[in-house]
Amino acid sequence: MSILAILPIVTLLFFGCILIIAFKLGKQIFILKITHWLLLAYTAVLLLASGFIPVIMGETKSVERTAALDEGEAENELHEKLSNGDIGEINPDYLIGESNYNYSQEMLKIDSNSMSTPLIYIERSTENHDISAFVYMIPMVADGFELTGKLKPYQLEIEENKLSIVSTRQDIKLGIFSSSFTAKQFKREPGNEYSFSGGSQYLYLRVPEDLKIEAGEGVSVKYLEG
Amino acid sequence: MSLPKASLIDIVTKQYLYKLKANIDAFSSLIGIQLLALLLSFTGSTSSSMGGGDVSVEIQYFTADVIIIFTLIWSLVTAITITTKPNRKHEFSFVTNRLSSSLSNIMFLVTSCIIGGVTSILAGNLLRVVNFLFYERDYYSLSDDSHIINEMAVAFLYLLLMSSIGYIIGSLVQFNKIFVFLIPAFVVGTLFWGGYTQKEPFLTDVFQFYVLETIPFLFVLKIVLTSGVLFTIAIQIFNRLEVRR
Repeated sequence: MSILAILPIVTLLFFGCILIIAFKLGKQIFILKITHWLLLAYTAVLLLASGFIPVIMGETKSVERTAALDEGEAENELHEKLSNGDIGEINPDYLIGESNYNYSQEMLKIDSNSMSTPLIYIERSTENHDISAFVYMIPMVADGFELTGKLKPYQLEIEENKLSIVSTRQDIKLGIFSSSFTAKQFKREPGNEYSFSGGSQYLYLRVPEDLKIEAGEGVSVKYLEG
Repeated sequence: MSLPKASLIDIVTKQYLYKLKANIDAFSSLIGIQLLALLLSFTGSTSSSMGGGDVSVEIQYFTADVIIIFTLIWSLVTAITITTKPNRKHEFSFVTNRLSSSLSNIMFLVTSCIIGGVTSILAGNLLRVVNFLFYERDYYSLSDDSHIINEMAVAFLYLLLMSSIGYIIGSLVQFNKIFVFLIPAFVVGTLFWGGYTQKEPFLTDVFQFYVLETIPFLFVLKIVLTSGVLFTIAIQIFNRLEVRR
């Protein structure tokens, strides 16, 4: 249990006790003393907290909002290039994982544990007998913040004749320290965007020409036309 | 034989100092209300959650917005409270008139606005520190070039506006108790009328007149002029009240 969870209760109890004591004694002079003491303590806490701010700002990363990507357009463009096998023309920022496997079996079964159905583009190659895998992703932008670097690409595991696409559940929690509305008074800044785009992952496999592919449940395969 | 002649400035200063002591509990309630706002802001002033497939994203924004809004409400209530009968009765132990009473009240309200403005912005810092120390997540700061003094100044101006609104509400209520019903009826009525006519309520336009102002000079001018006019009208209303009413 986080300390924060009990903090409100402790604070309420603390001030509740002070109020009860003040009420019980009921003397004006005591209340005045309590009030002065409270004001001094509160001011001290606020000043102390403000003294910590440079330390905290040093520990946190500064972020800027990025322009939201037209997800539909980016997806269509990526899909077109993957479908045509033009992976050299794809924006290098979209490539988030790359691996190579020596493979000598005649058949490859592809399974996935991902909640979303991964779309796999398969290129048959006559040049080598390895399997090359490329994982692409359209940059994920949430509320104007680029979060691509925080996402883990699919993990690919080959055992015997099975390629497993392992997707781990990712819960990204961010805290953004932002100025109050009084600081934004003289800026023509838009408010929080509350938008979400990108984040879908695509797998591109370059496999030997004669390899038989068997797509497991929840896996969608698209073969490139030779 | 001549009687000593008391200047208005001396009387107002004495009354102001007395009111600072007499209304010290207003500042206890300021602390209480800011702590309550802090508690409500611990999990973020605003947040958004989104996701799909194997990914979920939760973004929480930590700002002093809730604390400032609560302080604005405190400022409105304090200004109304200071016009009430028990508060005005205290003044009769002084050499006083309606003008000196109102001027000292306004000075007290301006002081409380300065304290409210400074503490509300500093409480935003406390919110950051507590979250950073006790709540585990990836923290980022949204880069901007704002200065804390500017934030405090803008918060002060909004508090001044709220105080002047509270003060005129208090004066109207003291003038005639019917305003206890008329003012809420006007506020609620404009909202309903806006809904009925399918137009933005009148109060939204008034709100936007100040909030959407991005030129510092015009913003200060709008707030100072409005507050000045409201305080002046309130002083005139109090001048029309009978003695010891």
